[in-house]
Amino acid sequence: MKKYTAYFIISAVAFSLLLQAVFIWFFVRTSDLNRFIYIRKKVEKNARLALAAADSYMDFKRGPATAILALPSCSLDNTLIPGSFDFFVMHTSAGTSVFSAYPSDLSARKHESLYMNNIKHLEYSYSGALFGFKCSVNDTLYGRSFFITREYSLLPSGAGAF
Amino acid sequence: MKTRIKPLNLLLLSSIPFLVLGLIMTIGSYKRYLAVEAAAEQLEFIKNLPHAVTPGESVKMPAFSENLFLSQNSALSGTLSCTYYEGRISVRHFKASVKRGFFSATELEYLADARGRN
Repeated sequence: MKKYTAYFIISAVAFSLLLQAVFIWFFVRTSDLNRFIYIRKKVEKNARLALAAADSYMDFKRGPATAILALPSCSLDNTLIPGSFDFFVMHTSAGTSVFSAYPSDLSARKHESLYMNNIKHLEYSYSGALFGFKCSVNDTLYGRSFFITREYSLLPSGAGAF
Repeated sequence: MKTRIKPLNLLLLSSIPFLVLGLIMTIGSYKRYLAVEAAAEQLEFIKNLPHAVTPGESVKMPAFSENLFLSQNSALSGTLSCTYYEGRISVRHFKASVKRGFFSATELEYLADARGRN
């Protein structure tokens, strides 16, 4: 009986360790996916409010590793300021991805920058108003696209522009 | 003579169902995330081409555009269907349904104006 008890304990522990290993693997994959979703939300927030993809801004030029979105500047009461643009720049270099918002002097938006490491193979595309980005988080490739064709003169009261 | 199960063995035995349940829930939530992203990506593309799918037709996903979530996860499969919304020919009701197992599926719907780009 002691022998069978030992077999049982060993089998149960081995099975438990196997399940835990599978759990850890899926937990890591979920964490990677959550990192992508965080980036996606950041990009989507600006892409939904953007009017177009700009060719250049300051030292940044549009390319596979750099994307620049032009957003209309807005005041605190969600009114758009004609002729003024804020820029959202996404840039990748040396394994670090940067997502920065550069508001104009008239805009109520704030300047912010988000740096993320281990986001590799960040690639942007813009064709037919379809803005797409792909990124690799721990060797898994994720990507999403957004259309930026909307023209509007007033932001909804609940819009998270700031 | 009764043989009683030792508390340690009982603890081991009783922990396994919970472990399996937790694992199933973790895998399920991961697949659900993927299914939502895959469906949203498909709808994002089709909403600006509302005439690409004939009303009443159901197309296998990915349709007309690359979908990394579906191509990299063979466990997921989906269909994109289109109908007239409440019988109105100018409003298309798109439904992206992504299956993530035998009994579970994620569905996202979108109402698109067929008169122009959305």
